Amino acid sequence: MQNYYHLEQFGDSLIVRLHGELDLQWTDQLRESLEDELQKPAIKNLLINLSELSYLDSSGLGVLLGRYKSLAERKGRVFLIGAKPHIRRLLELSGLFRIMEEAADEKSVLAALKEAGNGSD
Amino acid sequence: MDLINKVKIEFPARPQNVALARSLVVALVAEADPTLSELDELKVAVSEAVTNAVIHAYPENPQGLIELTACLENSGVTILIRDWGQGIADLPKALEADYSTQKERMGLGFSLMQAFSTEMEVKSEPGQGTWVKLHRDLAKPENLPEI
Repeated sequence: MQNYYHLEQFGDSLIVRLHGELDLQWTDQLRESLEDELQKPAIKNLLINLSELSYLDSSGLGVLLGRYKSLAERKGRVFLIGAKPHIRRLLELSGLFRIMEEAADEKSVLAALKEAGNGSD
Repeated sequence: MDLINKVKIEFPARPQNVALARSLVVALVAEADPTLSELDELKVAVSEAVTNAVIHAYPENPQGLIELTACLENSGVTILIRDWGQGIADLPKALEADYSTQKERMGLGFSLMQAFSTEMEVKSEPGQGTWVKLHRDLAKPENLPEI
């Protein structure tokens, strides 16, 4: 499976879709891309779609935590979406589920944000 | 503990080689017919050990070498990852969860190695390098032929 990520802005939410294996080889590039996007004042929420991610380790977990810290400073929300069971276990062990919100799919998160007046399209 | 198969490789401390190392271990243990969960956890344990060596062993020299030896045995798989880099100044501290010398790293490397291995042993000397031994029991290796 090819390793890549795809970014899309949806209102005041940034969606990052991770594919393949996220390890040390890709973390610098992903961190820089995400930070560039998160610098935009319009972005309040980050949706991390993990449904096509087959591998994650502490290098990737560190990037996710770093982005959470960036957004938490301006009271943004971070959602972890569609993690496979073995990825889910790492998110539990690392404690990221205690600070980020878990969701089944992008659509339901975007709808809930819109409903709460915390997002727009 | 009967040896079934063994592989030993040496590679420079490049981030690209983290995936290479875990792929090699996955290929080695394939004949033991591991469960998906065993494979997923083994991949993380090996990657964490190699990632530590890539990041910390040779800060000034990405061509510094890392050696990986993996032995498939009746009891499971044993993996040795060693480098000849700067070593760990305070090993007990480094083994603590959440300890990291680098921003943006969670200090989870050794915790995940421990969580996903049956046994873990680490030796390190400043200026001499670091040696990590991971053993993971596998559910079905006793059915394998001996060599």
